[in-house]
Amino acid sequence: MGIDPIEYTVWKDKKTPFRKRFLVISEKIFRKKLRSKAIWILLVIGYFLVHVFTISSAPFYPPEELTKELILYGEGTLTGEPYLKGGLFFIFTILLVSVVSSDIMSQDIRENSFVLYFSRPLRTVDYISGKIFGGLSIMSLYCAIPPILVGISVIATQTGDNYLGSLQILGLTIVAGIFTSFLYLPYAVLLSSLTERKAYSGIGTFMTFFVLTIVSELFTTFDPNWKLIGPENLLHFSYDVIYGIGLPEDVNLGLYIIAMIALIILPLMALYIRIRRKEVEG
Amino acid sequence: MEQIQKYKIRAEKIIVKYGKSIALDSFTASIPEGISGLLGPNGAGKSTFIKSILGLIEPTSGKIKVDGVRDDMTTIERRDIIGYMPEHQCLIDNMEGFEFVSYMSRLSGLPRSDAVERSHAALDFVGLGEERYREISSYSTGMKQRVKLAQCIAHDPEILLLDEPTTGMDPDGKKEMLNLIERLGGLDKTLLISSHILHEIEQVSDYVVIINKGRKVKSGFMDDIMKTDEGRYKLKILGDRKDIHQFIESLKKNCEIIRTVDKQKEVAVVVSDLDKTDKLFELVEESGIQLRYLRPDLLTLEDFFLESLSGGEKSGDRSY
Repeated sequence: MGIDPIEYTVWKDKKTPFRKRFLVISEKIFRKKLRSKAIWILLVIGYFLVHVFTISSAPFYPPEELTKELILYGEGTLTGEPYLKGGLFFIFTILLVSVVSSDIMSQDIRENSFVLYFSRPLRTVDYISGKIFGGLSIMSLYCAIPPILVGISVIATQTGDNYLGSLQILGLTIVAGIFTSFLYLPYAVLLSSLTERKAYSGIGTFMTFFVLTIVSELFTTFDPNWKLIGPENLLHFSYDVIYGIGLPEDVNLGLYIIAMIALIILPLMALYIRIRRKEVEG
Repeated sequence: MEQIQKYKIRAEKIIVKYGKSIALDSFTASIPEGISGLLGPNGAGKSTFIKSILGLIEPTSGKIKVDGVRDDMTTIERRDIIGYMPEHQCLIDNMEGFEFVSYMSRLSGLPRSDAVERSHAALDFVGLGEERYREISSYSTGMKQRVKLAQCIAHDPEILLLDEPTTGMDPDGKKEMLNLIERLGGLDKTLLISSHILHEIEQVSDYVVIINKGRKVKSGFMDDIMKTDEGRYKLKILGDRKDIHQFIESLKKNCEIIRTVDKQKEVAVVVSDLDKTDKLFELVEESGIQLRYLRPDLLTLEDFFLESLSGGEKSGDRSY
């Protein structure tokens, strides 16, 4: 301590509002994930295989206007490969969500740091929101920002005059990008809250989505509604809803809603209960 | 002697149950400003009480009032004025010490620039130097305890709840931690320290609450507890065991024996309610033993604690 110890100083300034403090958690996750090599590797490979050609195609091969067909199926681009509805886009999305969410809560369980979060003025909802927004911010680097860049590059070089229509599609693309960034997070974060090991959480998330996709493909021959247990199909149907195309005729709307609840609402509820119990148990 | 207007935390008949077992059983206690010790054996309910204050555990019944015994505070508002240092591992290992304290400060409501400044100030105060830029996973137990204290004080809370703050520390580290606690107690703050190590509480506390099996057994200001008890004496006697036994039996009829310490031929006895020492000298003479010394005895926290746990009964021999 020394002969002349450093004295304690008081602090009496104004504190930040309670409702904004969850953003501190999100920011911490964002910064931490940006330091992760695995995230950078996935982002670089994903950008190169999925986004770069579509983004850079517009100046060389200018389309007439930005259309939903261009964003979803890559129609009118240099490659002509499906874009948001492409298989590679989905695979990198679930790979990224698995890596992003792997330690998002499992680390807090392993290190028992819940107790420090909840000894502060944070509610369970704030904690979960902070974690999910943090994950969302990283996911959007792959799922939201590149499609928006595609939209902007197309609008900047388009040959037609329908800028209003293009801007409308750009707006829907922003919605679709944010939706894609969020869609798989609740389940992935729930898995992360159930284990102390990030490997279990990450692999568990990827395998769940992968196996569901396979099962969906196998059983669709018997009944087209089996498509709805496939996370890739759910994403594609949601795009159809967002872009105003509507669900395919052979897909039941009620079952689609149930599937979306099962993928988003139920994991969030289970997550809330899980964290609430951890908060109380300490 | 209790000064009601200065109480910062008041628990009124709180009951906490874990399944069928009762962790706190109609626990009522008041914690004044300054340093208070929460003493009790393992499993007595100390940590449960601290978690109840933080709202981490919702009592089945009863009330906890904080901050000048305000009744209208929500759990979130209550947590905003409290700093908590948990007993067990809770630090985020892959963060640097400084980064961790700054992060926790921001969660407690400090703006970013203030969080940086305050975190450095808190880490300086607890004596963590350049190590603050190392990952917490590389810290010794003592350094981890210092970081825990730093995150607890960085946002300058009015109330500090310290759960076993010296756990796992070496003697020098313990001494320094107690020194830090004493310095914090010198400020306008309320510190509640949970511990089962009596001499630590005795060293730093102004007030003590003893808890056992979920109930408050006793509480009081240290000055009152430690004052000389009228009629309380310590004496050392020497002689044959038969004579000593006869003397102690005779003594029991005239006063209460707090404890005896038997060291072969020599026996130390602490008695209370001894009105006149003349009677004692008579008994010594009758028993044919030697009285080596006789002096007034101070009540220690250990005596207070042991008496409290045994239901406040002063009679009955107890060796330790």
